[in-house]
Amino acid sequence: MAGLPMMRSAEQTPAAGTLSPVRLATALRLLLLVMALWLCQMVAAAAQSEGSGGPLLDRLTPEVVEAVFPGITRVELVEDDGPAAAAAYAGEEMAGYIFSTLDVLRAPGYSSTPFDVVAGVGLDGRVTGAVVLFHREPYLMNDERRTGQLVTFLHALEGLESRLGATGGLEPGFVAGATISARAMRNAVLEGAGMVLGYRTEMVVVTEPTIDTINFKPMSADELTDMGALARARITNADLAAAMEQAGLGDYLPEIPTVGGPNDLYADIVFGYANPPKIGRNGVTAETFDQLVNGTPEGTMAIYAGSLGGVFDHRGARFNNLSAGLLLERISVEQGGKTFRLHKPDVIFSRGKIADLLLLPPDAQFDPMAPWTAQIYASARLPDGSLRQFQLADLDYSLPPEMILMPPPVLAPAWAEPWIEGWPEIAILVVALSVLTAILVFQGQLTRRRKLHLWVRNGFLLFTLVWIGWIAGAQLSIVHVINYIKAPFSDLGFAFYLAEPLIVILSIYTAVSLVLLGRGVFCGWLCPFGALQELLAKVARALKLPQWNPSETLQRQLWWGKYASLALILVLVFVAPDLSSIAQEIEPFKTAITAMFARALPYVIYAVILLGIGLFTERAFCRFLCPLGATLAVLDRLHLIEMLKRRPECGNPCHLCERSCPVRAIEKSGKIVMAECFQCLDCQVEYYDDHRCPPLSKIRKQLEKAKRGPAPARPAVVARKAA
Amino acid sequence: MAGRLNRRHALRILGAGAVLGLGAVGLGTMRGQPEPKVWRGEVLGAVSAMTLWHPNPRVAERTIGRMLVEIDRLDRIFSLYRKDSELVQLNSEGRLAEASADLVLVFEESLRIAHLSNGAFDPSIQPLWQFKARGGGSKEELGQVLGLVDHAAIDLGARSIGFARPGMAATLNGIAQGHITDRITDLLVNDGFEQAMVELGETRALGSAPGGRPFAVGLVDPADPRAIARQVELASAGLAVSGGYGLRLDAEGGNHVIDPATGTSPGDLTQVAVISPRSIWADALSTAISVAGEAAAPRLLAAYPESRAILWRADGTVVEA
Ligand code: SF4
Ligand code: SF4
Repeated sequence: MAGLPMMRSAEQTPAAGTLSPVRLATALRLLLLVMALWLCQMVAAAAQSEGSGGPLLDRLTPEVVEAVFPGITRVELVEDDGPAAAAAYAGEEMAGYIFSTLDVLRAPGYSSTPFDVVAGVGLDGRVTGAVVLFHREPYLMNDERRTGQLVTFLHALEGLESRLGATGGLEPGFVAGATISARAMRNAVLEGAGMVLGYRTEMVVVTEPTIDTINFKPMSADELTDMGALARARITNADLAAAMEQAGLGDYLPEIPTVGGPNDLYADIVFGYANPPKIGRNGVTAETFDQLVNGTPEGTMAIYAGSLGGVFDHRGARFNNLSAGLLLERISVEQGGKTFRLHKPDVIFSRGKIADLLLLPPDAQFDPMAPWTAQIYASARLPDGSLRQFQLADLDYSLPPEMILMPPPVLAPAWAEPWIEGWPEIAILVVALSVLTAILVFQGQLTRRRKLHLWVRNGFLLFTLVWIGWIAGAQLSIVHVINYIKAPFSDLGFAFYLAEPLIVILSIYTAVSLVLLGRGVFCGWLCPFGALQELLAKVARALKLPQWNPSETLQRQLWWGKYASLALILVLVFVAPDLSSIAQEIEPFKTAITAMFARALPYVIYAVILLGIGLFTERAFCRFLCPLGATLAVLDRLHLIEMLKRRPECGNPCHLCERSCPVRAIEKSGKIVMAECFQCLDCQVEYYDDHRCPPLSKIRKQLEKAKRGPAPARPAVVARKAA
Repeated sequence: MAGRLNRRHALRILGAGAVLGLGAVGLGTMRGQPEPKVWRGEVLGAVSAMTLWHPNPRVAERTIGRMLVEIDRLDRIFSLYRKDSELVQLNSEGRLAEASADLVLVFEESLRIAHLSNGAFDPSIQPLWQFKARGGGSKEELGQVLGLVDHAAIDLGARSIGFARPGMAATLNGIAQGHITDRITDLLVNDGFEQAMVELGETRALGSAPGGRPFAVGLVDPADPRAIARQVELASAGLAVSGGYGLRLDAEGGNHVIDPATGTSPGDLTQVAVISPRSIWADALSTAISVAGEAAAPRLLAAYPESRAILWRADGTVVEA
């Protein structure tokens, strides 16, 4: 990439100093080009008296590009917040930028209408060329000789470093008679090139709020005042009179006499923190600002004080002959009770503008981020000829946020992304879990209504199967358990586990419910494969398929099956991880739920066989084989609350609930084996059914008998009470 | 109960079984050939992609989200563009007392191939890279820089990594991408994925393409990088390609394969493609063979199970090893 500019400078070396024929020819060609542009610009200028330029790319005709950046084949507008520029490409390679001084600096020359010089800057930081597109410089207008000199002068900027004050090229005096214009253009090209390149090459990474000393954009005093970047005192003669009145000097005349009527301007003074170029560079002249940046010790702070109009300025009557060391008596700056008075050596002043930089050394204990005030003093002339100072204005200032670079907002951690992006799913799941919680809390009320329980139960199972299982694909599985077990030994961050919102929520809910109520909350309500088995079993019973259940003793032995499959998987995880992933296929969740049977045939056959068995022995897989069920059953021993109701008659002599339990979790003794209970609440429906539960129906019958009993008996009682 | 099984029962049972089977097949076809979910982005400065096939597209999407979390963690270890990455810390301080297992593993693999190839692959080549990128220098300077390139001067402990000489630095470019590719592929397997194409700086196929055929990967022609010279079939394996056509570093024809011993680019082979079960091996082998040359290929490949290579010679002929 560095090859391009280097090659060119080598080719130019012999020509340095003299005007070789090659150079002359180039200059002539440029001259012709500029003349041609001239005509266009005259017309354009008439239309746009301020020379606003229009879109940069429109101004970059092939001739202009060739003149300011030879060898460029393509230009492309840079879309960022920096000083406007077009990226210049030589083939596929980016070589630098082309910009317009009008866009970047809006710098005026001798005339107050800003000129437009287009220039290029290579990535090596050197100017590649410059041509003037528009100007209103009086000593150049309609002067062919000077215009030719200007073209040569600008052309000689090639190879100069892109910073104000760079040396080399021709002296502005070369354009005899228009030196001010030439110098202004030269400065604008050098300064603009530095800005255009600097913005794109200096990586500004701030870690804390930092005052923006990088970005620049031409802005007027009005714009800056509106933004709060300048504090401005516009004082009319009437204001002056009021201030003198207040100071008890109403009878005297001001030191600087007023001009005009009460509404005429006496002073128009602005203050601002000058280090941000948007404030300082727009306030003072380029040279003055350059002195702050390059001519003062690192960390020097500066306050911009400018007088924009009126008869009274901030410098004071004796400023011009103020010998070094004397005080600027008309202004002071105050912050946090500390007053800063400034002496002449503390000031860099602008030429041609009453716009100064008041320097505060790095150790001045001034905090530019904190608010400060500026005071303006004027004097009244007393009858004895002496002067008495009084305060003319007091300005509050605080640096607006636009001038402060903020560190990039802390990005949400990577795991948060799935939570934000997956909010609809999360919301559905949370609602479902709230419903489930309500079901469990109000199970007494629910199970008293057999029909309602049936609908709620089947509805929830359907939701679990279809939404949790098939749509959201959030089947908790032994793989998750194993991942959690392996977590401390693996290097996966905690974030990796957090990045699965549905699984995380389900895991937490399951863990909490396991500790409170037992295994059944997950297995009975939230496991999609469990739901699939139970729903199929219900269909099977509706179709009157024969049902088979082992005897209590055999069942006890079969229960061990699931613990065995869990043990097998756990051992393999640590002994032979490859085999453990095969062993994990014991659970057909992936086949039946996550992949919805879209898998290789052996897996599908296995899952169908398990489901088929479930048609005759409800949830056979859950009870005798499921490793996840086994995990939960083992931990079930810890649960704290028993919500399922029992009566003394349960088991002796009554066996109704026992038979009603679809998974035979109730022993002959009437005790519920909680590790095998799925919290389906079927037994509770029986428990509350006063037509089926024998002890309850006995009480009901007694009550009814009492109701139907000898008619007079009860009214008699009532009557007696009434009497 | 079995004794009382009558004809009606038997029919019902058969019917139920048939319905169950049909239902499963029906559901299966509903989700039949899944559309792949594709993620594209950048990992360690390399154009990257993950293509996941899963019957449930939401699962694939969410899995990609989780894999990005893991990629982010690995980026914080290996990136040369993050000031706080472990690798940058190691290079600037010359020692890391508590390196992550990932960094240690990648150094282990790097040193293994470095020993096997007698330094043809050398993770400590970073100073030479920087020297080349700066535009080179005199013979003496080159000699000095070459003195800093020595894999034997890397001390690798169980958790610590250090350089024996000041000024040494490591680059894991390529091999770290191989590790990330492996790591993500392993996690996908663990998550139950059976089909995926992981291209995180290195390429690795998980399973085969839909339809059961291997993935077809095109290899560019080293003489004409815009043309596909050859297709290789990739199933459950990683592929890495080292070639001299990439970045041009200096005017003398030096390319991005540098011989750590001499600082020059070898001329024997123009491109090396290695297919190996793990991407980290594929990358190590392809770089090492590019530098060490055709003669060393069989011995290096033999050290890694199920690995093979395709070599492009300077004269344009192609051989398999
Ligand atoms: S035992 Fe297994 S399959 Fe049955 S509900 Fe529990 S986790 Fe699901
Ligand atoms: S019937 Fe009762 S004991 Fe049996 S699983 Fe349901 S809630 Fe548990």
